[in-house]
Amino acid sequence: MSGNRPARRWITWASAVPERWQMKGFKQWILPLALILGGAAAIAIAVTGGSGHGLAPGDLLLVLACSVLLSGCIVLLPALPAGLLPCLQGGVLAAVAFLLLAAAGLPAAPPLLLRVAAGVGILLFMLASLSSLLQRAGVDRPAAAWWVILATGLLASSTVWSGPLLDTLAPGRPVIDSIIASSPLSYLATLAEWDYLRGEWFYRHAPFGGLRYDYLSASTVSLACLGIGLAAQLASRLLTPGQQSKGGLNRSPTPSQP
Amino acid sequence: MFNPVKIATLSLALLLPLGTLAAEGVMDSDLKSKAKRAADDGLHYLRQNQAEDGSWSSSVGVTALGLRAFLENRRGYDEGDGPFITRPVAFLLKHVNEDGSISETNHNRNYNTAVAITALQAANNPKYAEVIENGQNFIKGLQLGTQQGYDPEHKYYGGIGYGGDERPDLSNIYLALEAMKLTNFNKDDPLWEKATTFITRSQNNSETNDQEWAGNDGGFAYMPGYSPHGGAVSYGSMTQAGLLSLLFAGVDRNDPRVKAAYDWIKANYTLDTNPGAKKNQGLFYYYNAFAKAMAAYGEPEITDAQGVTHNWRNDLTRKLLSLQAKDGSWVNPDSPRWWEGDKNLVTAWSVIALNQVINKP
Repeated sequence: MSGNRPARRWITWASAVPERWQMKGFKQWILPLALILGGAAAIAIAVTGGSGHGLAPGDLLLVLACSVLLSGCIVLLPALPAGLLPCLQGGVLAAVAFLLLAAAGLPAAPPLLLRVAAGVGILLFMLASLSSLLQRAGVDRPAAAWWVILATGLLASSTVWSGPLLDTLAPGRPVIDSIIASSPLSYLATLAEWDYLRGEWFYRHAPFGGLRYDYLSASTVSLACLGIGLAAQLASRLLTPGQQSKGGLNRSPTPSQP
Repeated sequence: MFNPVKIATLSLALLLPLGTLAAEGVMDSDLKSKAKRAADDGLHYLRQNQAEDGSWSSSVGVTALGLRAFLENRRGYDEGDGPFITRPVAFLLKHVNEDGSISETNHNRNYNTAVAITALQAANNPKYAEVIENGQNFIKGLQLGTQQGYDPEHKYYGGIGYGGDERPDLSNIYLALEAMKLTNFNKDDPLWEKATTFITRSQNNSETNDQEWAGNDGGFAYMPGYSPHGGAVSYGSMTQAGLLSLLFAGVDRNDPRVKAAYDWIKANYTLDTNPGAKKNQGLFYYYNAFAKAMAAYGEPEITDAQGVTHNWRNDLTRKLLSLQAKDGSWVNPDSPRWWEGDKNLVTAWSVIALNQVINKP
């Protein structure tokens, strides 16, 4: 393994220090929280062009929630050890990070912010659990994390890249609603009571604004995400630590870290 | 006693005024009969496809439009005619929310509330006055202004959107203003002037539009600086909606904005397509808005850019007749965008358009 590529160095460092991310004490929460906050702020600034000026409040809230989720995934998933507690801790950390950023500048009602924070936390718990499961199946921790992040990105953007397919195939309502339901953006938007698909950016870049659709209820998606997370945790427990599955995904050239 | 010359002269004298009326744009009588029959067939289709609870397509919006199609028809349907009227009314009332909106979803609240209070107004029953007033207040509350952080220079100032987000557009404001107008909302309320600001900023008329993107063909985009058919191009359905919106807001026919819009309509007069739109998207929305706009503008005939004079009622009737299915329904065969794959919705729109044609001389 080359040690002179920055990304590889970071992944190696993150993988080698699981104790730091166990967050047994309050002080051990500070560093990952700071990294998530910094990363989320950088992502949000990059997406909005530096200020939220001109963005509708709901769009701004959605940008912030997604920034925290993405930052949380990048910071935590490659470094969190497998297990229920670390994944729950990761979820709580992401929720707290969102609340801190939102309180700093979003003119939204506290109950709404709490709902969205809970959604961010639930999503991160689910994604961390899926990453744990991949690890238990023998995939490198960093590789497992990036597979999960990639899949999440594909789902989050499905309402955009599926547009040409919709125009060609003209599928029925169940397909349309399913595409929308599968996107984590839809879940966060529902919690924020925001019809993001008819907002300015999505109306211009995705066809859904002109179609009949409905969002799945937030409670249904919340339960589904928690269920997927818990199922992944259960499946992880059924796999003994370090078990190598045949034909596992994307093996690292170096031995897996404990 | 029986003088054929006198009889012929008398007959000519009686027929001559009718000929004059024809020259003044009165609808062809045969076509008018066919329009009435087509509307009846459309209502029959709606009646056959009405759910047990009186709704159509499980939607407040489609139900309201279906109800309106019945209530505005020449046959004078009302609640005394039976459950096919009372049940859709009950369906609408069942979806009245605490905030005054009438909607089964969070993300179509303006559209649904607007068409619902329009339909309830057409029911002409004082029992619904409070629901209608609450609906008006809800719609007014959606209008973007300084309270929501939009100053008068913002391109969205005065606009109204779907209600599930804050992005306003011309289609939603047109339906909102139609509802407010038909339910006799206070004409001195600042809502009208604020709305006019947004409508003006959606028009490709640089003489009156202070936005840099504005072109000069007089037509309307979907919202300031954007059309779903590319750039900020003007297209038929929004130009009809824009013209109607200006008239609803009390803008005079001689105002340059109204004249520019009407000039665009003349220059792009067609009923074969939704002019300027891709793949005939929104075709029946166009027909519906066309009928209302032309009726509101008040000219029975329109002369296109080639100098050909059209009786728009005749033209619209011929086109709708040609597109009507044997079961009395209509649907957009080219594009399901904006729900035009829903036969109930499109049939309701088409009957409402025919009602505009029939209910005038």
